[in-house]
Amino acid sequence: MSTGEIGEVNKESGRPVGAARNSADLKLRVRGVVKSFGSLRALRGVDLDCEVGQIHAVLGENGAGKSTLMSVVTGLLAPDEGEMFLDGHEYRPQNSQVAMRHGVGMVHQDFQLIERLSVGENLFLGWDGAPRIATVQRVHEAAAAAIARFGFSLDPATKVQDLSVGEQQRVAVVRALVRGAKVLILDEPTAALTPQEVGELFVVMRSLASQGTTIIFITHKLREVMDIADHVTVLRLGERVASFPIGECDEARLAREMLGRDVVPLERDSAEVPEGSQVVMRVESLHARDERGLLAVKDVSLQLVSHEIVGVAAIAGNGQRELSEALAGVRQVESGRIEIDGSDITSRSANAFTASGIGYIPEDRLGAGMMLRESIARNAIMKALSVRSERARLTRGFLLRPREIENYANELLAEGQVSTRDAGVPVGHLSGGNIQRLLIAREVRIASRLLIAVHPTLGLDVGATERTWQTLLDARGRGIAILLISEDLDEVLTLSDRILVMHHGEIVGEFQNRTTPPTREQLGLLMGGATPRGDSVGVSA
Amino acid sequence: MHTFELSFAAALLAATPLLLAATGELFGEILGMMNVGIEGLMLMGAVTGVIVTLHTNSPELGLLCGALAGAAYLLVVYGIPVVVFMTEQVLPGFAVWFIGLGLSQLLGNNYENTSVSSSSTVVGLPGIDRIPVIREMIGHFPWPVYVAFVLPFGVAWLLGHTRHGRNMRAIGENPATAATGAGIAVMRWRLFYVGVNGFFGGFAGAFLAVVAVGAWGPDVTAGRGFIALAVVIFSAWRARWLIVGAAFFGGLLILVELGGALAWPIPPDFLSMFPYLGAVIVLVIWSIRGRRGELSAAPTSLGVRVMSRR
Ligand SMILES: Nc1ncnc2c1ncn2[C@@H]1O[C@H](COP(=O)(O)OP(=O)(O)OP(=O)(O)O)[C@@H](O)[C@H]1O
Ligand SMILES: [Mg+2]
Repeated sequence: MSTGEIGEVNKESGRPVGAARNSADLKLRVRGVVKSFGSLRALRGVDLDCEVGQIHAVLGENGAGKSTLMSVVTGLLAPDEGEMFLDGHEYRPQNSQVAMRHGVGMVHQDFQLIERLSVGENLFLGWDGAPRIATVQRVHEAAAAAIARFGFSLDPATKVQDLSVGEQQRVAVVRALVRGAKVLILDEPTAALTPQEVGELFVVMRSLASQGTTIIFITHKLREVMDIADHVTVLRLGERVASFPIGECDEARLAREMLGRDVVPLERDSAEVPEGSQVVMRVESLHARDERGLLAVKDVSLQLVSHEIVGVAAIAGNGQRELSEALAGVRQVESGRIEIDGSDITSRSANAFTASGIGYIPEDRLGAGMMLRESIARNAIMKALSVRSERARLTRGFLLRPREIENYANELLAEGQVSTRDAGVPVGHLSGGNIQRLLIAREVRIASRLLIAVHPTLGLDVGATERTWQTLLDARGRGIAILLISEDLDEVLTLSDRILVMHHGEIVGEFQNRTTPPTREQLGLLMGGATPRGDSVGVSA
Repeated sequence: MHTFELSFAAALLAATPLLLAATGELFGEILGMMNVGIEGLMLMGAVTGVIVTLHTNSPELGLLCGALAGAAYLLVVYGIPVVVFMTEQVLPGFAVWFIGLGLSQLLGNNYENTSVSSSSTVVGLPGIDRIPVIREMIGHFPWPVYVAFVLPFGVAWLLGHTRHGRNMRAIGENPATAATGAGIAVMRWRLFYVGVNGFFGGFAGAFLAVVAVGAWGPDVTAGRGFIALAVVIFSAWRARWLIVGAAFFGGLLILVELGGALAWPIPPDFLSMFPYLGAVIVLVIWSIRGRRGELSAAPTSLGVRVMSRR
């Protein structure tokens, strides 16, 4: 547990060994916080020290307790034990309003926005600083000014439900900034952002920190910790296992602290797509509209072949979400044709897509992917019931077979290495990363022909990312076709056999990643729409 | 003579309690709380209003006490279970109806059919007497009628033009997110608006008994609470449309008297069925439109049990 180095924590005093800190220059001091949910001890005496103007990274595996700790700091959860100090004064927020009044603001992992209200309305909701009397137009004007001030680009009049996940997250970031928080907690803020947007966010974070805002930055991405943080605290299973200035660590060490082991390299089988691979899905001049009725997918034709991973690289909002939904059967197609194994399923129901062996990891996993109030078991069998072979196992006539359902759910929990073994608890009680693990396990199980994975590792820690990548490669090895849609270029470049680039709803480039891999810059330019389609390497039908 | 003008005035009078109760209910529903027991709430307001008026000879005091009694009653029977203990909403709504039915009869037992005078509440619009037809139509009413018809404009302004109104809508869309994300003290807001709903519902009942009918009787509301609920749905949660809905149902309510006065060859029992038939038709049409997705105005969390303790 202890590192034997600078990061060591003295168990008795609960204070870092060495540096005798004067509590006065500490903005936020958390001491011995314990929080249990029933028999689960999510936090087991955690300490946290954040200085004024510091960017403090909190690192930990899925389920390590990061979000729980932040809920305690923002008054959303009352700790069972422990105390907190803000500017040296005792700090006990009873709720998030009190925390906000003390200048502690938070951007939640699931954004916490009201979908049917506009961006501008969301920014100002529940805020004392918003104008008392204002038409929607004036609210939008004020919002536009605030958005511009923080260097973001968002249309304040758009409804949040019509935004991509990345854009929604930006709204949540701006909302916290607008309220002038002195301690700003960002729970995995970069998970859904493009590399460029991450860069922009980091600039904002730096400038805020230099003006004296303390930023607590929760992430799984070691590189980001190294890039932006001044100090890092590592949690594992609800305990603080290390805390040190960024200058005294490197990525390998962080990974080791976080996982309690070393990172295993990926195993991949033959690099080539084997001879005799069959076409699994054929898409011909597909057009589809988004929620606003605008044409989001324009004339997309593609073929997905067994034993092949096709990566789609695109910046959020360029039609890749709509494309994935159309191919998974959950979005109405405007025109065009989708064939699976030679038969036309364009206008069939989503169930029919599932029944023909298409697994789908959606972008909006909490809304479209899971029913948060229902038990893990119910969520586990949600789609399996459309698949004939699984249905035979899970039902007898009209009746569900509870024992089999529980076994099935337990198998998924084990396959996904989800941190609970109790299939009876609601999915909403799992941590964000664990929900994602369950979802991946469920979809991989039913994907006998094709797996459509949208941002599959969003919100996963290093260990789980690595395992998910391995899962995708294994599925490819079994002959499943995979469509991987991701904003994470590392992911696309690491896994794909072939890479498609989408811009404004069209496929603007295609690369054979195994023979002529593109550079990040090439991809970035095409994603930004900078180069016309003729320039890309190896365009083929 | 003057049949049109007089029936117009009668329809407005009949529409007033519907409008007041529907406005109260709209406040609740905007925050996601559906109260199906408006009927019982109005009865409590009615009995309180009549008793206070009889004892004090002041219809104003009667109306005020009816409204306050409505607020207190709804807070206890509906607000505490739904908001504080986070139960579902239908059973507490039924409790509001049933308890109101029983309790108002018990309280009003000795006051039945004693008539109250409320002539002091009648006001004339300044300068109206010089305009011939309009004078009969809208010139002289008890002041709550004018209040009821102006109120929805105020509510529309509150919801559309103020920070407060936007926060209300946010709570009705997603209470948990309004609390954690936006930091609104959702529980307090919801309790407050249960009180507001009760206030207007009680006021509506008191107006009906003290002013429109002029006496207490256990059947004084005769289903108007349910019509008020239909008015809210008819309006598609837009405050100004409450006026249209209430006027429409107010018109249907006076058909019986109109039919009698004009000696229509239609049995009065049949005519008195019209408002309820109208309510059913409205609900059917609206639910079809709602299923087609044409109406998305209903607050997303309407009728949904709140699970988070914030
Ligand atoms: N309301 C709750 N009820 C029961 N268990 C909970 C609840 N909230 C969190 N937990 C459990 O507490 C543990 C810590 O969860 P937490 O959300 O803090 O993890 P995390 O570090 O944020 O993980 P991730 O990176 O996946 O978001 C998990 O095992 C989770 O299942
Ligand atoms: Mg978390």
